[in-house]
Amino acid sequence: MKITVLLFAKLREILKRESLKIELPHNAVVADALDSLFRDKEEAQKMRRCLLFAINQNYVRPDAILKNGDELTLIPPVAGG
Amino acid sequence: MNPILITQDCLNSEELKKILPLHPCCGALVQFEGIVRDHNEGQRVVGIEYECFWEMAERELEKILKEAKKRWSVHEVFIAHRIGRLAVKEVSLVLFVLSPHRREAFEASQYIIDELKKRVPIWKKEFYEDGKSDWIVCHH
Repeated sequence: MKITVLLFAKLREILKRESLKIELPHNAVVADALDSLFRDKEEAQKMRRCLLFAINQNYVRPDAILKNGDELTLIPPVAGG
Repeated sequence: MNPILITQDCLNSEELKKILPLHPCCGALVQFEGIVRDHNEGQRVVGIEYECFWEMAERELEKILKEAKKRWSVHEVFIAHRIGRLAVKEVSLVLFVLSPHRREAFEASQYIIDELKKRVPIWKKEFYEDGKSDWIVCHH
C-alpha cells in the first residue's frame, strides 16, 4: 500500500522534503513507516523519540495501523504561541 | 464570526476586537497577546519564524475552543496566530475570551494557551544575535 508522509520544521530540513510517498506492506503501523523513512538517516533517527504522529490530521500512537492512501504527518515538538 | 485566524499578516488586537460580539450578560473580557521577546534560555533573540500545518492547526484549535466552551461558561472566543517571520516586539498571538465572570474567562484563556502550546502543529525557529538559529521545544 502507498501512503503520503508530511514533514515539517527540523525534520523537513533534515530530510530536505516537505512530503513524500512511500510503499509499505499491508497492516504496517506508524513505527514501520519510520523504520523505512529513517533507514540510514542518523540525524532523523535521533529525532524519533520526540516525534508525535497524526494520520489524516488526527493524533495517533506509533502502533496505529496505516491504510492505503493515508496521510501520515510526523510532528516534531510543537511551539506555537 | 470565524473564531480562528491563522495568518501571515500583522495582528492588530484593536482591529480584531471590533469583530467580537459583546453580550449584555457577560461581564468579563480577557484579552491576551503573545509577543516576541528578545531572549530565550540565555540567548539573545533577534527574530523568530513560525511554520504551520495549517489545516491540522485549525482543526486542533477548533477542538481546543470546543473543550474550553464545554468546561467553562464562555460565550465568545476568538484566537489569531501569526505565521512567518516576526521581529522582536511583534505580536504572534491574540486571544479574546468573553464570559459572564472573570474566573471562567481567566481559566479558559489559560487552558486555551496551554493546550495550543502542547497540541497545535505550529513550530518556531529562533534567530540569534550571533547569526545562528534553532528550532524550539516549548517548555512554558
